Amino acid sequence: MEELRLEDLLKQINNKEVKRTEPYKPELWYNSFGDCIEFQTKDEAIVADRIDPFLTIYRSADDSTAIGFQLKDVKALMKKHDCNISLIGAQVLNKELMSVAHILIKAYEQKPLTIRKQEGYQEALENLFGKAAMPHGVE
Amino acid sequence: MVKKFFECETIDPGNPSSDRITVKFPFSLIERWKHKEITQFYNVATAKKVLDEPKRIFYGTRALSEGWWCYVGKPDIWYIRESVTSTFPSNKVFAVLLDADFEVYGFRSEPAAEDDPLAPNGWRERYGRLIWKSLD
Repeated sequence: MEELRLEDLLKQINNKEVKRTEPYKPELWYNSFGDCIEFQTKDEAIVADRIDPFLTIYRSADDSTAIGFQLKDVKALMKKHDCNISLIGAQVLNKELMSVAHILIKAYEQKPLTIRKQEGYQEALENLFGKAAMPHGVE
Repeated sequence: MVKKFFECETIDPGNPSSDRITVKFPFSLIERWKHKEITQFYNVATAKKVLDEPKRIFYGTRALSEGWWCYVGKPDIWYIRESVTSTFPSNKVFAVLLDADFEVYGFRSEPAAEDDPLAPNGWRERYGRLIWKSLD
């Protein structure tokens, strides 16, 4: 079996050999190694804004706007709340968006409820569905 | 399917003064970043620097999963988009996240704590324990 050497990977990085060949397409995906669902609207450096033990908002390093989120402990949350998402490989299918929103809401309902928490979960849902779909003040 | 990994070494949190331990970057995760989140792919180099020279090691990073780790450092530079580098912000730290088997599953910058500029904001409430800290 071919040996994987981190040094070779770091050479590719130092030589800037990897280039994007097509525009970035935001994609909801399941990171099985971290048991988390991730979503980014832009491909740029992330500053993590931890909202609670389950939700982290990804903010732009440029201007602090929300550019995505990470929802952690997905399998445990699904089990606890009897939810079901088809986690196929590293993909969460687009048709599962509503199920992801359902888990987000279940995570939100874990106490304590705070204004910061409400704003964080709203930002995650806005990222997922677009601002038009989540007017402020709707709970 | 056999999992494939890239490997590097870092401080053993169980015995910091002894030999280093091996941590793993899953091949399939790096392939994902290489083709999708390319900025994250480039920041594998930043994560490697942090693992080479961590400043803080935290244990117990998950609410519902036991034994996960967070290695925190202060790199000189990082990648802000694709192959574009920038000086790492003085008011932030870079966190490398690992599961209970010391497999890296992510990394990102976080605001630094006011009470410890080499730890992430809220570290006292977020983590089970601070396991190790550098002398600087």
